[in-house]
Amino acid sequence: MIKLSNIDKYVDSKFQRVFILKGIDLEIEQGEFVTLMGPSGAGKSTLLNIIGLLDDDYVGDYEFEGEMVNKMKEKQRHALHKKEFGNIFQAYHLIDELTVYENIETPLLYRSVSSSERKSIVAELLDRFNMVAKKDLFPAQLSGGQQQLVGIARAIAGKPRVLLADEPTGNLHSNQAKQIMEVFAELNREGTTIIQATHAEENAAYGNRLLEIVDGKIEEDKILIK
Amino acid sequence: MLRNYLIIAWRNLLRNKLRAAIHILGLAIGIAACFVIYNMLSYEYGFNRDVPGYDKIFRITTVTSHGEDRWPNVGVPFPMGDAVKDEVGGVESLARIFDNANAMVGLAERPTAFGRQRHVVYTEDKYFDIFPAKWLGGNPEKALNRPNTVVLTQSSVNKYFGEISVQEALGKELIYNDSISVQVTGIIEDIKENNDLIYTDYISLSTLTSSTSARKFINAENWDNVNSASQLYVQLSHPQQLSSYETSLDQIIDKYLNNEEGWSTEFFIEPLSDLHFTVNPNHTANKFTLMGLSIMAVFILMIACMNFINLETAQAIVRAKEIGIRKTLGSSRFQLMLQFFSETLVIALLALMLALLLTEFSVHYFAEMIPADMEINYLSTGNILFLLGLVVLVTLLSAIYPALMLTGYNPVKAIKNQLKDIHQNRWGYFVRKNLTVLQFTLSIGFIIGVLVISHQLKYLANESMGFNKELVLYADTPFLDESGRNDQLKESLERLSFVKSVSLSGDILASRSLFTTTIERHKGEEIEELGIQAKNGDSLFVDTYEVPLLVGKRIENDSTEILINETFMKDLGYDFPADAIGEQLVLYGERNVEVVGVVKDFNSRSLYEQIRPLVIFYEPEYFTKINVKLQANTNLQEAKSLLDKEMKELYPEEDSGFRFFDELVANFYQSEQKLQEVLSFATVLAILISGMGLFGLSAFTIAQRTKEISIRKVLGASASQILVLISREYMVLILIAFVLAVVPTWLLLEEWLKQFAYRTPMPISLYLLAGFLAFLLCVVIVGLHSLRTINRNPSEVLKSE
Ligand SMILES: Nc1ncnc2c1ncn2[C@@H]1O[C@H](COP(=O)(O)OP(=O)(O)OP(=O)(O)O)[C@@H](O)[C@H]1O
Ligand SMILES: [Mg+2]
Repeated sequence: MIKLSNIDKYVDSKFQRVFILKGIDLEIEQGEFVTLMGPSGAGKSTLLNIIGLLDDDYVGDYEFEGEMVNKMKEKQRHALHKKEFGNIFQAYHLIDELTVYENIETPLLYRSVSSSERKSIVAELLDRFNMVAKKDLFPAQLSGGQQQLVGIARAIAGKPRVLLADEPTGNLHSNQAKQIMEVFAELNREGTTIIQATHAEENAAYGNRLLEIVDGKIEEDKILIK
Repeated sequence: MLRNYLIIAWRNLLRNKLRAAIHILGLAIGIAACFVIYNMLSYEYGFNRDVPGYDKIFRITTVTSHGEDRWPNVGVPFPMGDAVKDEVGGVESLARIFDNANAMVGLAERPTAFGRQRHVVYTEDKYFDIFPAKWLGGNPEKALNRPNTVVLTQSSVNKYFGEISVQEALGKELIYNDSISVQVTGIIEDIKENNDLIYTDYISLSTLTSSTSARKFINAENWDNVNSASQLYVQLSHPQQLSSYETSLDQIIDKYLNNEEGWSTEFFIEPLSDLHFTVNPNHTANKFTLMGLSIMAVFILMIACMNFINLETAQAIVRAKEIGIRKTLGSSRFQLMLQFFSETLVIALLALMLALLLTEFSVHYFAEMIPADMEINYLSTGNILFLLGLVVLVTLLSAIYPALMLTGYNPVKAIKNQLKDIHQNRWGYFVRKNLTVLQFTLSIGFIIGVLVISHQLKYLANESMGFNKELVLYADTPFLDESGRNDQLKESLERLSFVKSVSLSGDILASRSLFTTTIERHKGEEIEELGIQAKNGDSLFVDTYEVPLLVGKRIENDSTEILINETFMKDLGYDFPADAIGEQLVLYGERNVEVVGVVKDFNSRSLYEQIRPLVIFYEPEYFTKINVKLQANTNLQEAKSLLDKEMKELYPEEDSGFRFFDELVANFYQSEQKLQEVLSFATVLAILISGMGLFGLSAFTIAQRTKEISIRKVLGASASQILVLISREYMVLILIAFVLAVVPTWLLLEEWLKQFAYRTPMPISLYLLAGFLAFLLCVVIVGLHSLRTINRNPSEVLKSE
């Protein structure tokens, strides 16, 4: 599904070229649950952003379902992102001015989903994450774990095939983290491809593949057997 | 989707109330100003539009010039009408009028009079071809084709005869100016108010041309006289080819006018659309003022839009996170811009509602600044389109830059708050600075304008006009009065103890009206013609106004004696007043007159104009004014009521009574005073809006520097050192704004001052004062914010960061 070949990302400072990612070759099949681990500053977030089409400033080839992403026009890339990807962040990044309901609804608005369909999708998601009673609250009125659940609900509302999560549990207590990971596992069972970056060893256990990133390179790529 | 945008917009407004208040109030003021001015423009430019053939109707006007001096006049020499009729082709209709403002009207059978009627005119039946009226009675073709007939408007009929039918009114008799008896031969509907020619009584012109004395009065044969009352209207068949008509008019000049050395006369064809903006006895609008007002209104709106751009880009970092999130959720850049525009639209619509309230308020409280008859119809198509257009324009202007800037962010960086170091934001900072400078440039420009105009008005008030305007009252007396009552009145007033002197005259000493003619000097065979301004007065005329007589004696109520002023003395070729005494001249080509005295130059018009060569002559038949000088220390109001009482006894029909001369003189500068008021008002608004903008901007930027300020405090900086540090940046902006404001305002004001023959030199100190005021304003606003931050406890700030 995703195929990266020889991806480099670097920044040029005055005297030298600093590589953030170097020579990344990576293939991810549909339905996988991949975990990226590695020391801080290794390049995990950078890699996720490239995969998620949020960063197009790199060299190398990126194929998505056989299409060359790095040759696409801005418009096509935007359409692809909208259709296939959902993002989850460490700091949740909900829109503070919108209620829980409206936050979940927003990506549907950008996808021109009809009003009645929107209602049923959001209601289903609220139900699934036990947030029905909280639908009219604002993000600031929720706990971190609840916010992240809204973040996940929002990310999957558009029914993306790939879910990208950058330290989704970084700001959460272990109980809350566990709950989030179980949701991920369930989504993965339902067919969603998940790529997450994390520092927590125990989170990796929910996935089926673990990539060790060190200094912008993939040091280790192992399949986890449950 | 739109609902979602609007929800966000609304919640954003509520969350940041200062921002909302500044935006809405500022834009509302700007929209209200533009709206009021738009209505003024459409009111003033809407005059005479209802006249059928609006584009084909013209008035012929005259400009007499001598060297640099130009004497424009809305009238033409009386014989011009016939000349145009005979010699200019392509004229569909032509009508002469002779305006008789303030005519006395009375009933024939009883000695009842209705006092002076402002809108009386002598004209011919062709007038109604050009300006069609709705006829209620009488024959439009014939009503004015013989002497001593009158066509009245419905309201005049009711005023003179009460509620009677049209049939009854036709054939009734009226007496105009105590001497002219006329019969009602036509009745028309009242003329609508948005016309400049709103006469109520139309007397046949032949009434004047068939009487010898009247012919003389209107100078029926004389090409050298231009009276603003004698006007000529034409309807042209080829209005696109004005130059060919002008050629024909030039031929008339060559044929009939023998201009003396250095003198020239030109005729102009003035379109009906300009009528409202040239000197007109009823109501005159000034194109220059209207343009100035429009520019001011647009500037005020621009300042408000700049506030919007400033505050929104300053807050970009706050908004950036939301924008970044929305991008990762799949929003396109276009959708984000749409969101930003709809947010701005919400603000603009709220501002619009407030603007309508402000408009209603300003129309009531600043009534004297807008035309009296003007009414704002909020639901007219023009107004609705204008307001909607304005709201859309304001939205686009305000939002386009912030929208482009905000939505251009890279989402990853936006979310991570890494924007501080990226290029786009430095550009935003640059724009913001420039807009602040521009706002203050405009505000400082406004302040300078107000100060300099006030200064010139004060200068005019203090400038001596060459006469004493205090303690003088004047009143109208009947025109062509043969009953001798004028002299009776003069005598009875002279008997009053508080009266110092009484004079009868054709006009008061200084007024808006202007009578120019020529006077001849015969040197053997050769006749030299000299252009003059003429005033008709008796022997006490100059005494009453305390115009100093330099040499010679007063006119001894003798029509062969004249007084001249110093300017005319020089035109005659004399350097010393004494030499001009005894100079023989010929007035109207028939009357020999002799210079018996020379008076010191005085301003008989506003100080806009240079003093013209002037002749004061004696022609008691045409006296229409009585002038009274009071003794010092007289109670003015008491004196006025006693004078009015005397007047009423002799002229029970006169109702206007005595007026104070100094008030009239002050009125010469009414339009300047109005300009000053309006500009002061605009200045307050401009300062208010830019002040609010600065308040919001500095609130935000200083809040961002809270941490820095606290650290500096911990490191030992004093409050004043920090204050200087923070305000320095703004001071530099004000300084740049000041420099930018000086040059254009200097040029503009120099142009404005040039209109005045008497003007103050450019007051540089006032420029500095304006700069200082802006500086002070800035220090206060920025200082207030800084102090609040400086006074916060550093430990508290640094802990929470
Ligand atoms: N715009 C940039 N300019 C220069 N260097 C950058 C930029 N963005 C990221 N980097 C560098 O790239 C490297 C990788 O950053 P990245 O955020 O991908 O690390 P990470 O693995 O996600 O770390 P963490 O676990 O702390 O989130 C870091 O050394 C970072 O300093
Ligand atoms: Mg990271």
